[in-house]
Amino acid sequence: MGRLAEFVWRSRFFPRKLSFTREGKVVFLVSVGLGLAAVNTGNNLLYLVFSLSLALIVISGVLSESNLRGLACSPMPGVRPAAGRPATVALTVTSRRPRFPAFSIEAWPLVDGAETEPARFLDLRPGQAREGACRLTFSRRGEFALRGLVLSTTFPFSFFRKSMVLPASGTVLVHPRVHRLRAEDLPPASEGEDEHLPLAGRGQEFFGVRDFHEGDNPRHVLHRRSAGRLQPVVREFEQAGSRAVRIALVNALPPGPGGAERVERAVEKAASLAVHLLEEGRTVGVVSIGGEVSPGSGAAQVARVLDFLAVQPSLEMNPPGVEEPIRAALAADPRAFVAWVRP
Amino acid sequence: MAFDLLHRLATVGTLITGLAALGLSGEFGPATLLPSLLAFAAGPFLWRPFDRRWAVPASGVLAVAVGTVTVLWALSTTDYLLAAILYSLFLAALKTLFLRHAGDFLQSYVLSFLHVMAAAVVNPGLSFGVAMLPYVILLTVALMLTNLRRGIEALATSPGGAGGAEADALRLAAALQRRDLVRPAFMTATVGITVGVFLVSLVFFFLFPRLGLGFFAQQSRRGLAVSGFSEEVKLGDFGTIAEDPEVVMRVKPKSGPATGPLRMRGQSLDRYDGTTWRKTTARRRQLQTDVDGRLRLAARRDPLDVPGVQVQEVYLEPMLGTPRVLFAPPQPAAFERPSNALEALRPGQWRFFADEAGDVSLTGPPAVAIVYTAFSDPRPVDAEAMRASGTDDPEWVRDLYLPLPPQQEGVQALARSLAEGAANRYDLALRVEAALKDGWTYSLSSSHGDQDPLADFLLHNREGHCEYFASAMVVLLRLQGVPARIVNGFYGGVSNEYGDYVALRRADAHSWVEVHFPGLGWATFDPTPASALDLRSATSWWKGVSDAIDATKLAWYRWVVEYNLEKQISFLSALFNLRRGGEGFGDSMGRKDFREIRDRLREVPWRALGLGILGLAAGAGGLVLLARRRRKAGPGVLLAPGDPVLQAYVRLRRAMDRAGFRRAPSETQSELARRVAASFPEAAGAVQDVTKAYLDRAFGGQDAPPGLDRRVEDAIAALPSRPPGQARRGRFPS
Repeated sequence: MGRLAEFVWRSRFFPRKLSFTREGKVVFLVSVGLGLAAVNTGNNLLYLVFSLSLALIVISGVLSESNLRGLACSPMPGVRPAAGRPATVALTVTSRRPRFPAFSIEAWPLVDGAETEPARFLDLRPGQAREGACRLTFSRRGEFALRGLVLSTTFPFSFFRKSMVLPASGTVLVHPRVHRLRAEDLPPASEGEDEHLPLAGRGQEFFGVRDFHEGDNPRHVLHRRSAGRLQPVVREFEQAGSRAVRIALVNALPPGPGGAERVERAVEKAASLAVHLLEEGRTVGVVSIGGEVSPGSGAAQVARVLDFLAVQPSLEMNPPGVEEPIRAALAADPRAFVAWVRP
Repeated sequence: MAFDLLHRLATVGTLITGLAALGLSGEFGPATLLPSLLAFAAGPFLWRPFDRRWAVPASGVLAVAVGTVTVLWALSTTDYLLAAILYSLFLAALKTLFLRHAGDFLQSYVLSFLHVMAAAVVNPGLSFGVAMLPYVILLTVALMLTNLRRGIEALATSPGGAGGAEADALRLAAALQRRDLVRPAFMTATVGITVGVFLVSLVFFFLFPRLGLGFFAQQSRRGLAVSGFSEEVKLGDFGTIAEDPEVVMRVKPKSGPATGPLRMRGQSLDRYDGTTWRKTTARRRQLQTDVDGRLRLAARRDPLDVPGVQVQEVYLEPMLGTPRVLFAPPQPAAFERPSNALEALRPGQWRFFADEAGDVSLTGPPAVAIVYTAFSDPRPVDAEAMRASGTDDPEWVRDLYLPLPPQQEGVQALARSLAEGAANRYDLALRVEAALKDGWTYSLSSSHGDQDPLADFLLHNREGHCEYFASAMVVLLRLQGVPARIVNGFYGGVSNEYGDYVALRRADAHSWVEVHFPGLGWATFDPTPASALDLRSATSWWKGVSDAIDATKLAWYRWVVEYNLEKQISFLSALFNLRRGGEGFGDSMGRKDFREIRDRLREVPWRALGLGILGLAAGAGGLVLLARRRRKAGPGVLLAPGDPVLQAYVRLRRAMDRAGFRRAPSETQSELARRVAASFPEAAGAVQDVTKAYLDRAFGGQDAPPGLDRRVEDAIAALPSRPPGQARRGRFPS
């Protein structure tokens, strides 16, 4: 997409976006040639055919506009896609028209940095609401702004694509890629089976209370205390059997070319390691130069770790002392096993 | 109808109507049109055997090869348009074999559109408009169906689909066979959009400025080849075109009814060499427009001051040859072109000439129809004045209109015998005219050889057409020293009840005679038997149809083919005046035609039309209701209500209902049959046979198996008439 087209798409100054389809470009060029031929020769029948092509173009523009009117799209549900992997998002398009149906409707969220495959609807009867699946694919991790929800149509002749952007705001957090790890990439097995560790985990003993996160077992919600704090809280259990693993991610740009890419690979490796260990049921925390995720386990910890890694920047720092902030954070828990991930 | 079939049919229709616009031009022979027609009709249904992996590259190679040959052929013949048309027909035919995806269909429509563009160049006739009408409808429908097809294709491969490309293809194939995709709402939208496309096309057509190189040019059309109006006419060539119904001109009287017969004089010929007539009056003078915008033939008084002046508007079809002859009734006084203020920007485009014989011609853009008004003096020359006019002809008249080649003695004797007793020139002319009318026979099929055809006509064969009669009279008069000339023109015509004009056809081509009377000028005599001319003007049983076609053709030419900046300005100014509520219509062509349209609209039998439309709508509504009833008719969703297999199955189902076996919504017909068979083994065979016959019929299209009715009877006999354990109504259980 060229800069101008990009500007038009992002701008709210242009409520409607119009673009040619491939066939539309051919029809337009044929029409221009036809018009020139008609004017040049004065042949009225060429004018007649030219008028037909103009009529098709004008009717196409008018009908595509009316085809989009009175349509609404449900807000985009929260998703946590991973970079490089398509994520399916369900969108509901509702026709609020009293009379005429809408045809050939496509819908997708307008998100920076995403390749989208729209949800498609052959027709929408008046008053009807239908759900469709669209697919988003992000090439890299990060936090991306949701600019709006797009409703688009090529009705009636497939010459043009007319789109409108419905207002919507929010962000989409894109997790880093997670790879399958080789054995040598994994930290050594933990020592002291059934040892009680002063860490939250999947043991039997009460460890503490914390706020509820997505992925937590609802049966661990403390309802009375939640009512008192006006937000759900869950109890945590002390981890048994193994020491925590703390992944130390050095997210500083290394000297030399390709530094940013190497940091990205490091982030992906850290994410893969964390997911692998958490799926094994182990307690995992992540420390980076900019912050840390305290050790934890379970599905909620997977989400916390990936959310944290999704937004870790590539820092420009001078080589001596780059790892000092990480080491300082690790010093608080000397018993934990530390897995260093460097770019 | 399955979506895929409907879409392909619409595509076939689009391609064929585009081809029709091209083919009806008459420029292409069956060798070009028939293969294209076959390919367009059958190609869209033959796509399955062509595997894209080999067929697409092969077709690409073929297209390049044929393209190369076409370019070489075009370079050698320099007929680039024909080469381009033939190649686009070939490409379209090739494309029809690969119509799989929406893009393929759209490409075929683009090719079809190119055919229509080419037709616009080679076919200016009404047939182009006739083909355009269904073309616009079918193209609109086809484009909308293509849009729907694109959506179906995208859905078949959209997120959530599983199984890879093969599964996508299967899903797509199944979706394209659905019958419920084209719903009534879609068809209603299609109709509305088609009407919209029509109306917007018309608006663009009439409002798009007619500027550019074709500034004032009217649409060129192929000129009619009408012999008889060049400077050399072989005896016998002119009269034999009398079978052709092609309209040459349309004449509309400014006052009075448009009824025939009309005599429209063209040109006179003076020199006869025994086989050929020639025009030797080479001195022409250009006619100048007077203050009233008229071209007077003589500096006499204003033609409109002549008592009973005959004023006729003439629409003259393009005719081959230049300069072109202008036709008018005998004794023409002046001509007038429609007022055109813009013509000043291109002076000299049309130039009018009159020669010493009084014939009027013009030069201008070739192969263009022209409209003009002719003023003529209808009063016949007084007979007594002609009798008294004497023989003192001017020298130039004697030089031009008396010479003859040597004539056979028989012809000279005939001339002498006819002259006996004639006291004056006028009586002589009358006697010769009457003798020829009464003594010779009109025939289009007679042959007179090349040596001395006129002598053969007069002395031996005594049969011929108007040219022989007129030539004979001229020769017989000249032998007696009377200056006379033959005049070619048109006589007769058919009044058109729709267009309020008289149409003169090529079949109305006619020759007659003008005789000079000193001091009075030229008088018309027609020695051809009147009965023959009446026979030519006889109306046929389909006159109403032909009148309507010709009136439509005239409207097509005037308002579409020949629409130009002048008419556009008149049209817009008339519209402007209408909006302002001005004083009706003025003299400009646009306003006048508006008035015509208004008058025509008043003449339309609206009540009958409304009733007809209502009847059609009621019929269509009835058909829709019938179709809906059929859809709701229970098991016979796919079969006609009277289908024997359906009726047999319905009887079985009623028997099963009575026995207490009703089909559950989730149960198939086969499962129902198995459930019945498990409970009543003695009925199992017959029930399953009838069920299978129904399924084979409904989904396989198979015919009824032999003995089906007997199997139904067997099943009914084996099934109880009420559910097991249920007492017969009205009786106490025993």
